[in-house]
Order: sequence, then structure tokens, then C-alpha cells
Amino acid sequence: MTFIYLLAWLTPFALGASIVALLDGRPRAFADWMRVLGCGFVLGAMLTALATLPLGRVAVARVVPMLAPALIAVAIGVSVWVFMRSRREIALPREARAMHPLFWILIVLLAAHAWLMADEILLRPMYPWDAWAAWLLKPKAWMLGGHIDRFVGFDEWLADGSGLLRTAASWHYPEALGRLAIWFASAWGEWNAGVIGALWLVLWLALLAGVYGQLRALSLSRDRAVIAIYALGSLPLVNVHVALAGYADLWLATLLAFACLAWMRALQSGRRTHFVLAALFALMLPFVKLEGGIWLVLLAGTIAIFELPLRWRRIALVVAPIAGVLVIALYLARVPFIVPLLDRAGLSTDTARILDHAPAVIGAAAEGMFAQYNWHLFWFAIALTLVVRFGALRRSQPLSALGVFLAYGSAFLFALFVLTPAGRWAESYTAVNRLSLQIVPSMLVFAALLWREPESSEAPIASTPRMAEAASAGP
Amino acid sequence: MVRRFTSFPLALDARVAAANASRVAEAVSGSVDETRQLGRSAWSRLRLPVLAALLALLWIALVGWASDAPTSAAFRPAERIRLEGSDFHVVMGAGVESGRRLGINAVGAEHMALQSHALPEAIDAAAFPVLRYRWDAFPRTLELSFVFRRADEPDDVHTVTLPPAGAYPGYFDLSDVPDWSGRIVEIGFAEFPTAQLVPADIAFRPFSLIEAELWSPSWRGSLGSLGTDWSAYRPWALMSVSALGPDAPWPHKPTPVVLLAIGLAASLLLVTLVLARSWRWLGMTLAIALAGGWIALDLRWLGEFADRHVLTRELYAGKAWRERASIEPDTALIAGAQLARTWLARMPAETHVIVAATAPYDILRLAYHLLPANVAPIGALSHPDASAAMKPALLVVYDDPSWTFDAARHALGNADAEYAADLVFDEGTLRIFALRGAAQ
Repeated sequence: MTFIYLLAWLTPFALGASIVALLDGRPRAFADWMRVLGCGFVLGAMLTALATLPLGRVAVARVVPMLAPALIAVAIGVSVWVFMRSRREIALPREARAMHPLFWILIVLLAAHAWLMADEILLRPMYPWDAWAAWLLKPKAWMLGGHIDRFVGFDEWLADGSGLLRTAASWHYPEALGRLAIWFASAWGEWNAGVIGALWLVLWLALLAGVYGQLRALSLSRDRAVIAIYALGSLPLVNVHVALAGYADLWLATLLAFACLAWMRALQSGRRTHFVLAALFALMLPFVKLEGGIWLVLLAGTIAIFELPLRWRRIALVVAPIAGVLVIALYLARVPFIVPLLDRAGLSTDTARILDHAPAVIGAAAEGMFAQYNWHLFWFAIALTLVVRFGALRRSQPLSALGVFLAYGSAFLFALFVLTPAGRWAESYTAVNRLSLQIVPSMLVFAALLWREPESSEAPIASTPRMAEAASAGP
Repeated sequence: MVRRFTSFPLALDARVAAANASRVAEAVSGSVDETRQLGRSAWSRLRLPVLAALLALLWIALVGWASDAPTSAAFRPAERIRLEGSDFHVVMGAGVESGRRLGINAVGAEHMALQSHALPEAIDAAAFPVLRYRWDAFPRTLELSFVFRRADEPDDVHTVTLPPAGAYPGYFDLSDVPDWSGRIVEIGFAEFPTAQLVPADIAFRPFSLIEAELWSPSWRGSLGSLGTDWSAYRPWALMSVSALGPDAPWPHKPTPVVLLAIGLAASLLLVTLVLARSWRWLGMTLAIALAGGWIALDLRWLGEFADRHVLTRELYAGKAWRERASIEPDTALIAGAQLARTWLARMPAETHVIVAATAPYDILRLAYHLLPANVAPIGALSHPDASAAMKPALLVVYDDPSWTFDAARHALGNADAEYAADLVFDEGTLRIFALRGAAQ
């Protein structure tokens, strides 16, 4: 392990944590640190990856030495700003009640998960299909080739005489993860699957830490926040995506959950900086995976709807699903104006065949959610929570907003599988659970917040930014 | 501290307690009819036994449904066909009888071992739907299959993947296999390296077949099949990142997830009805039961995860990274890639290299293993005008006889296209051609 490798880890942590602290308040209590470090690492990792974009065709050995000092300097500057700004703030008292001893069992169980995942990552060469065929093919090519070459389409590559362009079946996939991988691989000095896979383990830790910290800031009691992160960290498919590292879905899921949590904070506190944090996480989505763009549009659309005056919001909430159903009906009826548009979007117009498959697709999706080993009892718990805590949902406008976003997201997944040729991925189980994974942490956060104590779910909106900051720095 | 342990960890919504208190208060303050009170008193004495009986019935029915247990069958099988390991003979690989066991000491062609037993007389498949099998030291590196021949298709061998047997006997419900029908004349077992997970050349470790039995329908056989399906070792598979359950390649029973969800919900519904609890109580209690069920499933998953991880440690632990990186499942392809890389090392680094093979998996794997070559999959040439626009490139063809080379015409082609080319390397399953564009 070299100084450059340590610097490679320090950079995203410092950069992201300082920005989160700037937008979310200086960390003072344990939960604050969890929030700042968890959310901060993910944000910092994405920003670090994107920072390599302007470098162009650069030698991989120069990536970290060129960028790390500048990014660390930014992090130090922001941290000093946060510190100076917060000197006169009064920290809120910490929660006096200690965690119930039984909950340590959950922490021990999480530690067992972490140990198994870590050992699997460190030992096994890159295993899952899309890891070596798509997501980590580019960084390996860059690392072994020595330069960050541009990946282009087949035709451009075939006609290129310079030999400086590369191609792959997945050439058009977003490159944030690839660039993050080359960041660490180049700092390590050679291509090592364990070094790259460690990123996914840290992502898992960051997801749990960030969710815990944000749930606490959203007034969920410590015990319930621990239950929530245990539930999230123990989900088998989440564990598999960490242990067999290399897929982009967990990154997307984490960004989406952090965006939703920051949005909830914004709705609860009324602070614009929380909106900025939510926007930062949401804007990263398309840089990770193509469907990230769809999640961004859905989230931005829902946020926009809930920023409208009440009357317009009600109209939008009624019109949006009607418009969606209308488009689907026109699509299924093969109405001339709609069909060419959807064809251009890659959607099949063989609607009769698609509808024939619909029952099998729905059955396969339901099996993946409720009957296989992927999610323990997660989807049953979501259904039960909605029934038991429906009153809490009706009382909380922020949670209603999040619920609407998740409903749109679920409708998108349903339409994707049932109404498009993507249904075959559901029938073969190859994609349906991975796409569900992208929304699972957000769904879990939503369910966890529904279990807030009645008095804490109606947390007062701080009247001044200073008060809000102080409130957000609670235990 | 003691008090904290004894207190309930989740403080439920205070309104639940309030609702219960008001219900109790109403019951106490209301006018009491003596006859009704006697009836209630008798019912309240009966409530718990009735509830216990209903719950027992419910769970027996659920387990029976999940295991597909025949309702009319006895607990133990009425008929068994028992075969010792030594009753089987080795068809592929090498083995030696060790008492009643059959020790398998080596694999045969394509790293496969096969043991078989011709039944003295054909049996009715439907009469023996349960297979019970026992092995000693069956390695995690191998996949286990059951093979059989039917009287109506004596030249065809039917194969079904079995859950690997661990320290205990394994049970398998053959009625889940559509081919298990008619008259069976021969049965056996096949073992080979787990596909796309274990390098074939290092997969084998000696093991023994202790015994195999065919059972007539019984609850014990069905429950054994359910238990084996739930607890058997499931190796990692490429499918594992997409779905856990279907990644184990044998026919499955309903999972404990389904059983727990239905069982917990139905049990608490019964409790609510029999003990006259409120719907709110049902909801809250279900939430707590769900948490208990979750932890039970998580402990099962941790066991399965640890089981999968044992193979990873067996293959890779204690080795340096470079050595671990060379232990890949597709041994032959890696060797081909190594050959190609050595040859390509003589070429300028920017040379375009296109990869062709029969299966998409092989194309993508080869492209990955040929890095840092400037490589593309054969799909790059699928565009109709591709050959007109292309600069000179090398085509690496791995184990794909569909590409034929006409040396006289210097033309290389397959069913879709033909190119002007020269053969520059040819060794075993690997050929490399220099492509110059479309054939004239």
C-alpha cells in the first residue's frame, strides 16, 4: 500500500464529506458523522470520477497525482468554511437513552455479513458477467493499455487509423464507475479485482451509514434506525451485489436513496441546501447507468409537482397517472401518432405478443419479489407497513411526496417489463430483481420513516437557517 | 441493565395500549348476562386448545403443501429400492470398491465421472418418485447429476441436476422432473466441474458413493426433499447477481420465504379471531412476527452465504493475487487467450483485433482476456458497410468452425460475410487472420 493509494481513498471521502457538511451542517454527534461520511463518500466518489473527464487521453499513472491535490485542496477549503461558519452554533443535546442491548445482535449479524462479503471480494477474481463484459472492461483496458482512451461505436472504431480509439459492445454505457475504478487501480499500480471490488464493500458501508444518519436526522428513533439499516444490509441480493462486485445497480440504488433522503430533509427543514444536496445526488444518476436518467426525470418531476401550489399539485397528481394510462392505451391500440415515437424509443409495437406474455412476466416479477431468496420478507414488510401505518402516511406531506415518487418508479418498472420487450428479462429473472434493487433502499427508507413515533414525525419546520442547522445536527 | 434486557425492545405506538385499555374498561363496565358469561367462560377455557390445534393443522398443511407430500401416503415409504455404492459400476473416470462404497478416484473424458446401475427389472417411475442418496466427501467443486434411462427410449440418457449432498443424506423429488415417467431401466450419477465457476483442471477431489435409494411416495420422502432443497449447498452462478433461487440449477420447492409469510400471516389471523384481538393488534403483532421471520431467514442466508464462501476459500485462499487471477473457470479459453496474447505482443499496440467464437460468453470472455489489445467483439463487423470502411485488422477465431478459410483465394468467411484475409496463426482451436476488407 502506497501513499498514492491512501490519497486515492482520502480524496473522495474528504471532498464528499466536506460538501455534505457544507450543505447539511457540521457533524457533531455520531449520527451526523455517519451521515456526512456515508453520503460524503458516495458523493465524493462520483465527483472524483467525473473530475477525470476533462483530462482527456491521459496516462493512467498521472490521474491521481494530477487530480488528488486539487480535490483535497477544495475539500480543505470547504471544511474550513464549514468550521468557521459553525463556530457559534450550539450543538443540541445527545439522546440520553442508550441503544437497547438486543439491538447489538443486529449489529453483530451485520458484521458477519460484512466479513463474508469482504473475504469474498478480496479473494475471488472478477466473476459476474456484466462486471467483466461491461462495467469494468473499460478501466481494465485503460489500466493495461496505460492511457484513458476514448471508447467509440463500432463504425467509428473500424474506420479509425490512429489506433487511439477503443470499442466494446458496451461502449455507450456511462463511465463514472469505470473512471472510479481506474482511479483506485492506477493508485494501486496494477489491475487487481480485490482492489476494485473493495469499492463495493465501502459503498455498502456508506449506504448503511448514510441511511442511518439521515433517518436519525429525520427524527427516527435510534432503535428503529438500527432495525432499518440491519434490514437493508441483510438483504441477500444487496449482499450478492457487494460480494460479487462489479455491477452498477447498487450505486444507482444508493444515489437514489440519498437523493430521496436529502429531499425529505429539505421538505422537513425547508432549507435550500438540502435541496441542493438532493439535486447533487440525483444529477449523478445518469452518469452511473442509462436508466439513471429515467430515475432522475421521475424524481425531478415528483419534486416539481410537490413544489407547485396546492391546487396545481392536485391537478398534476390526477393528470399524471391519467396521462400515463392514456399513453399506454394509445400504445396498445397502436394509434398512429404514438407508435412511431415509441418505436423510436426502442419499444416494440408487437403489442399483441407483449400482452400474451404479460401474465408470465407479472408472475415472474412477483416470484422474484415474494417467493425467491432475494429480499427476505422485504416486500411483505412494505405491504404491511402501508396498511398498518397508512394514517402516518396521510398525515405526512413529505412522506406522501416520497410515496408518489416510489409509486411512479414502481409504475415505470411495471410498464418497462409488462409493456416492452424487456419482459423477457423478467421471465428469465435476469433483470427484474436488479432493477427492483435500484428502488429498494428508497422504499426501505420510506417504510422506516412511516414507523416514526407520531410526535417526532411532525417535526417542526425550523424558522431560521441557524435553527434548522442546529436541529439537523441532533443525535 | 437487566431491566433493559427484560423490557420489550420496541415501544409500540402508545395508542395501541390506549385502545386495549378502553376495550377492557368497556368490558368491565358493561352489564353482564350470567348465561353469556358461562358460555364465555367455557369458550375462554377452550380457546387456547382450539388455537393450538388450529395452528398445528395450519403448519402441517403448509409444510405438506410446500413439500408436495401426498395426502394419502404414509409417513414412511411402503417400498424402497436400496442400492449400495458398490452396486454401481464406473462408466467414466476411475473408481474402486471400498466395502459397500464406490470410491471415485479420477475423472474421465472432459473432466467427467459417471457411475451407473442397470436395474434387474424395469420399475414404474411413478411408483418411486423420491431419490435418496448419500455421499462421502462430495467436493464443492463438482456439480452432481442424476442420470437414468427409460425402457421406451433405451438410447437416450436423461439428466437432472441434483442438490449436492453434504454430511447428511440428500433427498430429491423426481416427480418434479417431467422425464421421470414410464419404465426406468437404468439409473446412475454423473459429476463434473461446476460450470463457469471452477477451473476444470483443478476441480476433482476423491469422493465415495455410499448408497442410493428409490422410495415410494411418503411424507418422509417429501419432507426430506423439501429439507434438502432448502439446505443444500448452492454454488455461486452467473445468475446469482440476478436471482437467488433460480441460480441453483435443480427443480425447486416453495421457499421458506413463502412458507413463513403465509404461515405467520395465517397464524396471527387465527390468533386474532380465536382470542378476539383487534385488527390493530393483528397488524402490530404481524410486524413483530415479520421481524422474527426476517432474522430466521437471515440466519439461513448467512449459512448459505458462508457455504458458498467455503468454495471461494478452497480455491483462492492463501495465494498471491497474480496466482488467484489465473484461477479462472474457463481454463481452455484462458489458454487460448494466452496464446493469442503472446502472438499479438509482436504487433503494434494499436492494432485492431476482432474476436469471434461460437458462444457470446466466449466472445466477451476472450475480449476481456485479450486486453490490453485494442479488441472488439465480432459484432463490430455486423454492420452491412463495416468491411468497406474498416482499416486492416486481425480476426481471432476461437473454437468456431463456422469460419472457413480458402487459402487459394485468400478468403475467409462464414454464413454471413466473406473477407479478404490471410491466415497468420493456427494452433489447436485458435486461428488468427489478417483481414484486409471485403472479399473481391
